[in-house]
Amino acid sequence: MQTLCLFIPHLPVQWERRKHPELARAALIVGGFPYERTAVLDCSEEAAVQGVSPGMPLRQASHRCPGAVFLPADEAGCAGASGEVLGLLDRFSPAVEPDGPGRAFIDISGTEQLFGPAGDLAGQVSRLILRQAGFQSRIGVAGSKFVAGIAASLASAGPLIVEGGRERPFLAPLSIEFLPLAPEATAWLKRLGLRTMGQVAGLPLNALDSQLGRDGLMAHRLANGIDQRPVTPGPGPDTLAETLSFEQPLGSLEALLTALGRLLGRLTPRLRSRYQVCHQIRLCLRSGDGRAWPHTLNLKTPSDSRPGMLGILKRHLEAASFPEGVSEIHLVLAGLHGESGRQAPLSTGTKGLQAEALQRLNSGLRERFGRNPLKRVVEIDSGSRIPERRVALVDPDAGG
Amino acid sequence: MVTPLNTPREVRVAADQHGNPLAVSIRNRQRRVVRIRNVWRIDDEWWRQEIARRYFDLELSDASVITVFQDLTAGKWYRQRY
Repeated sequence: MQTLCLFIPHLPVQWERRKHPELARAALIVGGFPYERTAVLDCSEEAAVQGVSPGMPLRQASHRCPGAVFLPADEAGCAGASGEVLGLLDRFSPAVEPDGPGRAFIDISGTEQLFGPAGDLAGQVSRLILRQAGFQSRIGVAGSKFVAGIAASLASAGPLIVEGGRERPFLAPLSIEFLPLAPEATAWLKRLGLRTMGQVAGLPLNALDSQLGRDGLMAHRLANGIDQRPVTPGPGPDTLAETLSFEQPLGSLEALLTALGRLLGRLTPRLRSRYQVCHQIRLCLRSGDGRAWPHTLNLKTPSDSRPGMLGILKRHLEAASFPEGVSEIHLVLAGLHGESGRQAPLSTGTKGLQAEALQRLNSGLRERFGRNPLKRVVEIDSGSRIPERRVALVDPDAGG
Repeated sequence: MVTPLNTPREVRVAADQHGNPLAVSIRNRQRRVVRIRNVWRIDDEWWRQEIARRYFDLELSDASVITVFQDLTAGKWYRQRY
């Protein structure tokens, strides 16, 4: 088996920078505001060189890097971005396993015919992730998930490929911190003077078994580069995405809406064929010079309606301006789930029938609950400047 | 019985030194204020229990738009549709 591990370093920071391109060079600290009693989730290199690190209290981070921009963590956004990346990886192999935010394994065995050698494939993956999702990534390739995962975290600009049979020498000088052991077990190994995986690999199997049990056996196998866990595809990505590119950038709102209508025309039939509705629309507009305007819209009522979603996009885009024109639109329908129910109208539109239907509902509810939970909305002072004085609920039997 | 609709709900807001909101906590999750769309003030009923409110239409980091106000007599923040 040949495994590729994709790792997006500093995903929370990269996600915020994707949303706010103006923060590209700013010292950025994600996790909350300096007055909050929480810790730094992630920070940019500019903040890291001033001594900020993940896990540090935000107050301390603000002392170390007073000029930093502090932002609350956007877990939902990062999770959505991870889902988007997983959707892109599907193009390279059907076996894609998510492994936490910004990390995934792909079984690339037998893909040479399609994408060339592992190095070429890694380059294609990393370029696609950068172009479509806007994230810098690191890639490791090896014969197992464990080694590929470590290779990805150590890779720099290019992919780090560990050839078959070279796993043990690759792992030997690396710290035992890479082994997926409980902190107590790692501390115990350190107390014995064991610092590298090469030292653990050279220990007799019985010694590790007697001291750490199953964890010891697992550590010994991994330190020797033996990991036979297969890549297990996760559930399909919770998104549907389409992209349109234009040679001549679109300058007007009408042209933009026509293009969005075309994209929705492709996406909504796919959504309906899955008997699903969408809870969130993510839109990324790109100008000719590569600048991106990402927008995320949460729908109050989940929808599969093309006109409905186009109307929402129109209202949102009316307030925006794109002076450099739009040369690429990437539209993602996210938060997909089955349509469990839809609010039906309380009664028919005809006045007489409406009163009759309400009367029936009234008596039914009274019979069931012993009282009538329905109320009538009445105007108190519709012109009041104080919102809570405008309308009120009254018992349906009350006069007025 | 008359139950007023759209009563203000107290909300946690982090504001800057000028009283402009920076972040709003909704269901225990912080949302950053991306843009203040509109600001207006209401002063009323000074002859009995004074009402003095500064309203803000806010665009939040999750793309939602909400209206909050600061009760200028007590300093507390509330969320309310306007």
